[in-house]
Amino acid sequence: MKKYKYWLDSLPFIGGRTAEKLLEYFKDARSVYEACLLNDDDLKNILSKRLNMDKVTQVIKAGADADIDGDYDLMIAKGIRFIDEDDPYYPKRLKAVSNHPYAIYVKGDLPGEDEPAVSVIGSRNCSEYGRIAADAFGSYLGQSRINVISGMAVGVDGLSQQGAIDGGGKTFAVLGSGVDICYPLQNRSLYEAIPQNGGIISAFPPGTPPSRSNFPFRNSIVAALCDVLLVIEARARSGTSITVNLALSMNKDIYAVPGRITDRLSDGCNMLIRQGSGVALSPEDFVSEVNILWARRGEAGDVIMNRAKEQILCSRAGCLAKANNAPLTGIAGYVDINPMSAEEIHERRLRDEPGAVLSDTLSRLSLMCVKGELIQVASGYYLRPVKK
Amino acid sequence: MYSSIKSGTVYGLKSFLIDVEIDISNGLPCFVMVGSLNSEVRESAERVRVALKNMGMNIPPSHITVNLSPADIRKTGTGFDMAIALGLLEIMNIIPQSSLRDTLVIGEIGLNGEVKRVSGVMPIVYEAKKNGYTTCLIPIENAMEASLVEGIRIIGVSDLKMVKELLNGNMDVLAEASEENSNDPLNKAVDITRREEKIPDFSDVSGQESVIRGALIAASGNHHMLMIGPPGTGKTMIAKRIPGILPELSDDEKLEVTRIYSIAGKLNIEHPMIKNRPFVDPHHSATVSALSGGGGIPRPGALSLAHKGVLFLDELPEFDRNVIDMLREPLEEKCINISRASGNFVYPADIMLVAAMNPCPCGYYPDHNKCNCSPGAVRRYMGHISGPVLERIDICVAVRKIRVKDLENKNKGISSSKLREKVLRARKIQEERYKGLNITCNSELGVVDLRKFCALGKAESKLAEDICENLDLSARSYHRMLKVARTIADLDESEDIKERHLTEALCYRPQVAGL
Ligand SMILES: [Zn+2]
Repeated sequence: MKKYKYWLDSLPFIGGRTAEKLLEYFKDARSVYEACLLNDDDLKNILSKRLNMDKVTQVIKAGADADIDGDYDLMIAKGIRFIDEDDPYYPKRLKAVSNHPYAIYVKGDLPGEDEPAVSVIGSRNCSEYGRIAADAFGSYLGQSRINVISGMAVGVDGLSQQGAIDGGGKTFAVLGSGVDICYPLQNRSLYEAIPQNGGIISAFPPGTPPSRSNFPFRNSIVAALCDVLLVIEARARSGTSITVNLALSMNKDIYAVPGRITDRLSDGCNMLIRQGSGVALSPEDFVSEVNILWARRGEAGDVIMNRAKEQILCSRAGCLAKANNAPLTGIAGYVDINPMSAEEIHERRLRDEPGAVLSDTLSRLSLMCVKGELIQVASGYYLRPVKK
Repeated sequence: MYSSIKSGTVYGLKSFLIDVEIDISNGLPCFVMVGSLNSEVRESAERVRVALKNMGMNIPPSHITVNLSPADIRKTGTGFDMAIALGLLEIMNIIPQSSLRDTLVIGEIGLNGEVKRVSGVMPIVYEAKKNGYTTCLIPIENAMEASLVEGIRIIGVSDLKMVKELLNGNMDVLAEASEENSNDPLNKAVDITRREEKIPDFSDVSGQESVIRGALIAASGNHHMLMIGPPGTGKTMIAKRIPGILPELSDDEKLEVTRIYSIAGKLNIEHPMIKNRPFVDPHHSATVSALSGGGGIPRPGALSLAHKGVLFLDELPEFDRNVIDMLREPLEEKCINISRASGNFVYPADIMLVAAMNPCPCGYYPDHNKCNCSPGAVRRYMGHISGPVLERIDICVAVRKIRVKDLENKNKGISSSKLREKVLRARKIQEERYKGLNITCNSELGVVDLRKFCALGKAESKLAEDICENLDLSARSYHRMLKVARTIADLDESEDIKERHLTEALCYRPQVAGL
């Protein structure tokens, strides 16, 4: 039966709504297939309400030409599982959402129903601060055996997922393409590591190329699969806020990592806090909150509560608390964790040392870069990494 | 009946003297022109006939043959008109025989007998002088550029009647000219050649200290330079000031550059010669031939017009990919080869490239507060510039948006003359160091030369090692850094390259943005 469902899901131009209508009329996927082989008029009628005649012909041709057994076996051979909504493995968290996908594709595992899950989202072009936070939160969640769900995008998404793997935990990537397509390419090694440390999930059939129009649906799955949504660095009015709204409509708890009020990349998070979201002050603080929330649901509460009590400080998470305590001397004291132009740094230095010359500031900055204490991000711009 | 008058033409950037031979014989009336001519030259027959008729001098109805020799040089332009007209007048005995011996004649003729300016006069006059000619008869508007050639008498004329009177001894042209017009063109020319042309000064630039420092180093070592920054930060303003801190053109260089401008037809009464280093800024819609030179016999393009000066390419990534790739040859060879059906041409293009670009589509990378471009978009934007061109840019600086505070700053920036002094001192050191070699500036150092002229001490070698290892510098980037360090040391008047020179040089290395 599954191969018919897969067949229906991978038909061109057929979205969730159309599939629903077809199933309503024909009762099951197999009957749709048979109607397709017979070039059935009812089938054409239903399709023509949503597609033009040209496309209807294309759909029926593609459907009739499909190799029902071969196609399904080929997918299984690639290590991809097909899980439709009637499958007992279909995630309960997802099924609870009204417009959940008809079926999902999985490479690796699905998040356990009895394991807490946190979705981590944020800006793609995050700052140094966002990178550090994504890594620290991700790895501490991983270490605390809390599943990390995200979209494997560059920036906060990928960094938190890599962190979760490094912390020894599981992470699940929800893609806007088929699970057999690595997008973005920069996250190739992460894409390859995830199936052994969690799973890659998609609502789109294998072979689907990444497309802008797929991402909103992908984001709604990211929101659906978690218990708590954590936002690390987001601009005001960004794609992140759409995902946050989706999660709110699904009754998820929202947490945000606060930032400086001068950083536009923190506006989204600070505004969430202003509106009453939870505040993720540190990975330790956040994880204990997640555990408490999880415990309140009454599922395996005691175990988790105990674990929360005996938490060991993770070295990576702890560095966030220690980071700013390091005394800053010399030129590094004038450099920010956000990129800053050499001239601005020189101006700050002039306040303390009125006689300083620019070429001296430049050569000192370079020397610090060689020592790894500063990073030159682009021509003439420097930043101070939060940790070494 | 036969006459022969000397004229000249340019082919590519070379100039040649041409004999204009005319024969009038009995036969069916016609006007035949031979000698490898293009259409502009052929049309000369019509212009001359009508002009002479309108002046009341009808050409006898006979068989007229005009031959421009040598025939193996392709002739273009309208500069032969006057020579043809005077040759006819000589045969018609309207002007005395051999009155034009040792005289070069160039000029276009209008239908009313007016003598009009033509391009490429200066190099032809130069050629004539080299060949022992004593006098040049040329359009008055070209007189000033021609007067740059010393040791030959220049007579500027405005119409054919005037030439006729002059050659018949009825008029002293120079006296006449100065009486009629107090601005004797020749006196005025001398005057203009002495007058200094203003180049905008760096003291007008406020709050861009690090860019000016970069420009100073670039000018001192003749390095190519790239400015990266948001739109409206004065990148063009800075680029325009760079010719003013480069060493002044020598007299020979002035002639060399003026020659190119003369052939390109870019000289006029107001600008009869090029005295300052050229500043050429083609628009980013410019084509390959606009830069290298276009036409069957190519006219000099932007690259040659910028010879010995600055070629400024604003919004570098917006240029056509082919144009950017094409820069590679001139940056390496200091000249451009152009192949055409009519032959191969080699044009000079010894330029200092100054380029400017935004760091990303919005212009504000890496300032996260303002830039919301995705990392991929930033990388793609930088990717428009091909590696081979980026590799030849030694100095890369960030340009910041000028703040109101800096504009209000009463302290003026450093003046161009102060900067030029520093450049000259650094150039002198380089000249002495490279005496007897085929190099004049640090930017020209090859890998072998680097070992000799940029040898490092013990501490410096250790630092260089650390730099390469920790920052993952390629061999090419390392060599570039050494060259720039050499220039910084020369500006510092330090014989050895010190650690501070190396580290400062490191700041200017071009970085491809995007993590
Ligand atoms: Zn941008």
